[in-house]
Amino acid sequence: MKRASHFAVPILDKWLVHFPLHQVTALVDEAAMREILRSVFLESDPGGFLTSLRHDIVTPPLDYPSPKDGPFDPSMLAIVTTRGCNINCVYCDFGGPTSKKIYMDPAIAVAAIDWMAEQLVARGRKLFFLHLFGGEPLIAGDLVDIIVHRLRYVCASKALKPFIDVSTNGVMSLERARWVGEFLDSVILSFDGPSEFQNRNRPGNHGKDTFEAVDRTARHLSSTKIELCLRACVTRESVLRMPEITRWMIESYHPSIINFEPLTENDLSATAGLGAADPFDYARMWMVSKRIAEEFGVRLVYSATESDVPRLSSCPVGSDAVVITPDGDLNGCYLQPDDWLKRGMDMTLGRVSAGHAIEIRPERAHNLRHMILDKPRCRGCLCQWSCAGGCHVSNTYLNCSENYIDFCVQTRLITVCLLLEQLGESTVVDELLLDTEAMRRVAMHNWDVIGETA
Amino acid sequence: MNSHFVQINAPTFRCAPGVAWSAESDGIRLVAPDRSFTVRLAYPEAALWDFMARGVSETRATVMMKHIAGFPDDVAASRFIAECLQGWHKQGLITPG
Repeated sequence: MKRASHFAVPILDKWLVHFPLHQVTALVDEAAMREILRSVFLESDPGGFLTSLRHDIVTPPLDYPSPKDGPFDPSMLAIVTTRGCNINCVYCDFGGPTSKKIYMDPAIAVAAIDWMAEQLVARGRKLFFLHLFGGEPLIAGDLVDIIVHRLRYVCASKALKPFIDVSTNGVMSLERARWVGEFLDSVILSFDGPSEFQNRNRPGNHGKDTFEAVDRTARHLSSTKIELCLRACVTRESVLRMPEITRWMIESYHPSIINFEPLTENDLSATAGLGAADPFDYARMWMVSKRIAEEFGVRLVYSATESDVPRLSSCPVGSDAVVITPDGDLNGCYLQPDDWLKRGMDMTLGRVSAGHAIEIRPERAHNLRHMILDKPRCRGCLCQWSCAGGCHVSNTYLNCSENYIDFCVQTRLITVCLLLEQLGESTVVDELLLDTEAMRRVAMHNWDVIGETA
Repeated sequence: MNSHFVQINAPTFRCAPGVAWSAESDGIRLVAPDRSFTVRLAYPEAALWDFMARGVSETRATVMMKHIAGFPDDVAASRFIAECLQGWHKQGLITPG
């Protein structure tokens, strides 16, 4: 079934009309909106500039995003070197504080790299994208050395360009930070801000503070050639300080990117007394922070709105990305199996065999490509081609409720504000963010689709 | 550019005084103290240079080089390491210490 591609949302006394698959967005008044609706339902030509809008409504998009087809076509390789971690984040969704420090057998990592390189060469690709993930991936020191150098060696011999990035907590020696700055291309450094947030949310073993170590790592990495992305988890306690944190991060560490993501509440965060930010506050503060970042030429991102082109997934799931776990499972998702299984989902792709052969099961790849398509909660939402439902396991899992959740609220608000800014309507954004009722109308408008009813 | 103290092997080696290096996407580039010459190390030698520069022990370097370069066993990896170090020493890129 084709998904909707024409949307309109009430913005104060106007309507934001958004056709993501046609790359058309407009802010129109009530009368124009009525004409648009009439032209769609009555198939009449409204005249003037509305004629071209109507044309876009009734013309199918040239490029309708669809799931990948054909043989498995790996897009990226992610290696989870270990699920273990050297700190104890109070909201960790990846089992870091409780997982044992068991490291991947280097032979598995080497087999995966060699296989991926062959796949890329066979398809005429030029870029080998590797993501190191954990737990804390860098605590597997020798394994990481092997992975990075093997990858660079294989790429050099096959005329591929290596691009290696790592998601890290930054608690590492200065020597390791120097090495990262020398041999990696990009670092996503989880850093929740000034010491009062970092030390509370991301304590070390036995509750030790981590701010000093992460600050040292960030300062060093900011002096290197790598792309530095600072990723902060925003909580109820920190949300109103996002603009201040943005400025502080930029002035202290000169990152290329700042990524604010709202806390996803779980048992751990509840035990620690941490709460999720109010989604309206989050949206407001995110937009203010974005403007501050822009003044300094820094990109502020939020994963659910991070796409210039329509997409079916805001994460690697469904794109034939391969996530290889420490014990040699090949998955389509970074989360742990327990997380999907409790949602009745299966994200496995295959396994590395005892002889270190990579075995992808085609039916699993097919299932993953299609698992991301049916999102009942998203059917009426204008964000469905950018947010794409967010995390398929935590947000829009099988049989989840069809009502918007806080994640949807902040995503809808930020999406709308970004679209308005693209139209040059910054003053409308300002007015909207000052008017909680108007924000609520945007956030809770549960059917944005033009030309179809719920 | 890096210029780290190192210790590896018996005898151990370190970068010759003033030799600086930096990673490139397909290897490592060394620059002589007076910038009179540069040496480009391709892989797998580049990996070994990194290990030497960080003072990684011979035992660990052998295991890692075996995986990185695909040597059939530790003996082959060890021989490769010894030959590289000898060659770099002759070129004046490293000194015992």
